[in-house]
Amino acid sequence: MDLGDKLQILTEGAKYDVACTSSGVDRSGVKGRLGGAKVAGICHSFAADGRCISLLKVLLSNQCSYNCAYCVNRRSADVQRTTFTPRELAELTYGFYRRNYIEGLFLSSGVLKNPDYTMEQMIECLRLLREEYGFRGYIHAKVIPGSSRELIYRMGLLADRLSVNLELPSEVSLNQLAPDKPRENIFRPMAAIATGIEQNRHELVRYQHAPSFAPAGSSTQMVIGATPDTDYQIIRLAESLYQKYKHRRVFFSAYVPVAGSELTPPGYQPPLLREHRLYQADWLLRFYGFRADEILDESHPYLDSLLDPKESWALSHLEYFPVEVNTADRAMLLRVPGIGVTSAERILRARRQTRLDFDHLQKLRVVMKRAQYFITCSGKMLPGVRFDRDGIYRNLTLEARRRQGLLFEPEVTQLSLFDGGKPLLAGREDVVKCLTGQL
Amino acid sequence: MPDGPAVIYRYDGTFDGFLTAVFEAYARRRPVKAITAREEIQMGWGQEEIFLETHLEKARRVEAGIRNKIGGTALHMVEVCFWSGEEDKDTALYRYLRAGFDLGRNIYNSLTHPHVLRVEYLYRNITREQDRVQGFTRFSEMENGVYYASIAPKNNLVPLLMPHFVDRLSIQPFLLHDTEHGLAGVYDGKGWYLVETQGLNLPNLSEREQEFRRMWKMFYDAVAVKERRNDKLRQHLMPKWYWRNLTELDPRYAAKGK
Ligand code: SF4
Repeated sequence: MDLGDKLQILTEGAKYDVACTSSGVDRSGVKGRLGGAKVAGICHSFAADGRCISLLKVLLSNQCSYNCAYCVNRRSADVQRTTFTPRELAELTYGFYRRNYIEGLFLSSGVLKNPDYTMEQMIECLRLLREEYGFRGYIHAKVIPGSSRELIYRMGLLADRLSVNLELPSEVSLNQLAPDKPRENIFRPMAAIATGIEQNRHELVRYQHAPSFAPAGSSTQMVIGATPDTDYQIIRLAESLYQKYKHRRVFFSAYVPVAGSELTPPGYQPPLLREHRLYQADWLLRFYGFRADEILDESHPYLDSLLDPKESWALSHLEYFPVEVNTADRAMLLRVPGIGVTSAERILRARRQTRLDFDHLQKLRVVMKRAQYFITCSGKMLPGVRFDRDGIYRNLTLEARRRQGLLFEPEVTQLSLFDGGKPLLAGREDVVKCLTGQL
Repeated sequence: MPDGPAVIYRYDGTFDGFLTAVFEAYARRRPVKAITAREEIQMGWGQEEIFLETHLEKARRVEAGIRNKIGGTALHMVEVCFWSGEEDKDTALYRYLRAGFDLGRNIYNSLTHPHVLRVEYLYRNITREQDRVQGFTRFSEMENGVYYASIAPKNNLVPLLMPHFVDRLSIQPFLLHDTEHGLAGVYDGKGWYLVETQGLNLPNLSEREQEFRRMWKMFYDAVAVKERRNDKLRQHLMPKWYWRNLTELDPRYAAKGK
C-alpha cells in the first residue's frame, strides 16, 4: 500500500473528530528549525463541509481492539486497515508544514493491540518530530483511554494539547455503546492531564526552563444525537468539565451514522442545528458569564431552534431589560442579545468620551437588529420599538427566517418534524467562531 | 488654519514618502484634497498637484511625533494600514493623524469619530486578510531547493507576511510572490528583502513536489464529512478569490482512479 492510500484511509478514520483548532500557545520560531505557533491558531483551508483545516488530522492506525458502536474504526466494522510507521507520519507532517499546508499534527489512533502499546507508537512519532526533526509547530495528541499515567506524562511533554474524548454524555450511554471503555478509563486520564498541567504551572514558576506539559491545555468531545441525552444534560456536563478538568474546549459533534450501525432510526440526519445551538450555549458559558442552569433546566431541557440561547434567556427574563447602555456594567451589557464581547468592550471605552446614542451604537458594531428591543440610550428606546414580549418574539424569529441560508439548509425538513419552524442563523461571526473553534 | 484651494500631494509610494507627505501637508498649511502615490488617481480641471520628494529626516520627525503625541498604538495602526489596498488609505491615514495630533491619547476611545472609524475599518480589513492569507499560502519546492509561493491578496500584504513566514520557515530559502501588486519577499536563508517584480522565471518543481501536492489534495478531500457538505459556508470562510493559488482546489491533483 503506498503512502497516499494510507493517508486516505487514516484520514477517513479521523475526520469525525471535530477538534480542529491549533490555538492556545504562542511559540516563536528558532532559526534553523521548522515551525512556530500562534495563540489564536490559523486555519489553512476549509473543507467542503465548511470546517477549518488547521492540523493534519489522522490516525496512527485504524486497527482497533475495541468495538464502540458509534465508531467507524470499531473492531467489527468492515474497513481496510492500515498503520503509519512513526517515521512515515513524522516525515509527512514535516513536508506538509514546510509547504504551509498545516499548522501541525493532530494525532489520534485506534487501539492497536492495547492502549499502552498504541501510546508508545504515537509517542515515538511525536518524539521523532520534536527531537530528531526539531519541529516547533503545533501538536494535538489524543490520549488513548486506559493508558498508563507515565505514558500520558511523556506524551504531554511532546504535545501542545492533549485530549481524551468523552464521546457519550452519560454513563448509561457509555456502558451501552462503548462496552470496552469503562468510564474510569476516560476520566482517569482526564484527571492525570489536569494534574500534569497544574504541576507544570508551578514548576514553570520555579524554574524557567522546566519542560512544558501540554501548554495549550486539554479538550474533549461529545457526540450529539446518537443517544437520548438532553441538551440540558450536555451543557451541565460541559460546565462541570470546564470546572473540574480545566478543559480549554468541549467540542460537540453531530453524530454521522457509520455503516452497519443501527444506533439511529431510518431517515436520521446529523443534528447540525442542535450542534450549533450547543456551541452557542457553550460560548455563553465560556465568555458571557452564564451558568448552565440559567440557560436550561429540567423543565426546559432543549435549546430553542428559533432563538439563540441568549435571546431565549433575555425573552424569559424581561425583568432585567431594557438596559441603559450609558450606565450598565460589563456583565449586564454582555447579557444583551446583539452585544458581543468586543462590542461591550467598545461601549465601555467609547462612553468615557461621549454620551452614547443609537447612531453611536451602530458605529460600535452593536447588532441593532437584535439589540434594539433590549436597550435604552439616555432612558429612551429606539423610536418605534415597543417593549412587548410577543412582539419581540415575532420580530426576532422573523429576522431569523430572513437570514437563513448560509447554514443548515439540508435539515430544514428534518427540523420541522419537531417544531414546525425554520432554523435560525446566528450572527455570522458566531458561526465562524463556532466552526473554526478559535479564541 | 489652512486656506486656499485644496491640493493633492503625490509621493513615491514608500512609507517614508508617506510620512514626508504628512510633514509637508502640515508645514504648508493648505487644505488637503488627497495624499496618494497612485497614478491612476487623476486630477480634475484646475486641481493643483504637488509632487513631494521623500525626505528621511522629515519622515523620522513625523514618526517621533506620532509616537510622542499620540502613542505607539497609533503608529502601529499607520504602519499596518499603509499597506491597505483601499484607494483612499493615505488620505484616511493623514486625517486620522490630524485628529490624533488634536486629541492625543483620547483618540483611542474616540470610537465614533469618522476619521477613526475609517482607519479602524482599514485595519480590520487588512488584518483579517492577513490572517486568512497566512493560512491560504502554499509553497512549492523547486528543483534548486528554494520554496516558492504565489499569492493574490487585495491588500499589499507581502511586507506584513514576511516576518511570519521567515520566523517559521527559516530552514528553507523562499520567495513569497504577490502577483496582484507585483511585489515579492525574498528570504535567502539569512535575511529578507522586498523586490518589485512583474513576471518571474522559475526553475522546475522538485521531483517529490507533485507527490506532496497529490497527497495534500487527497487529505483535503478525505477530511470533509460528506453528510455535512456545505459549499456556501466554505465559500464564505474561504472566498473564491483565493482559490486560484490553493493546491487542494486544483482538480489536476485529484486522486487517481478514485
Ligand atoms: S476505541 Fe476509539 S477507535 Fe476504537 S472503536 Fe472505540 S472509539 Fe473507535
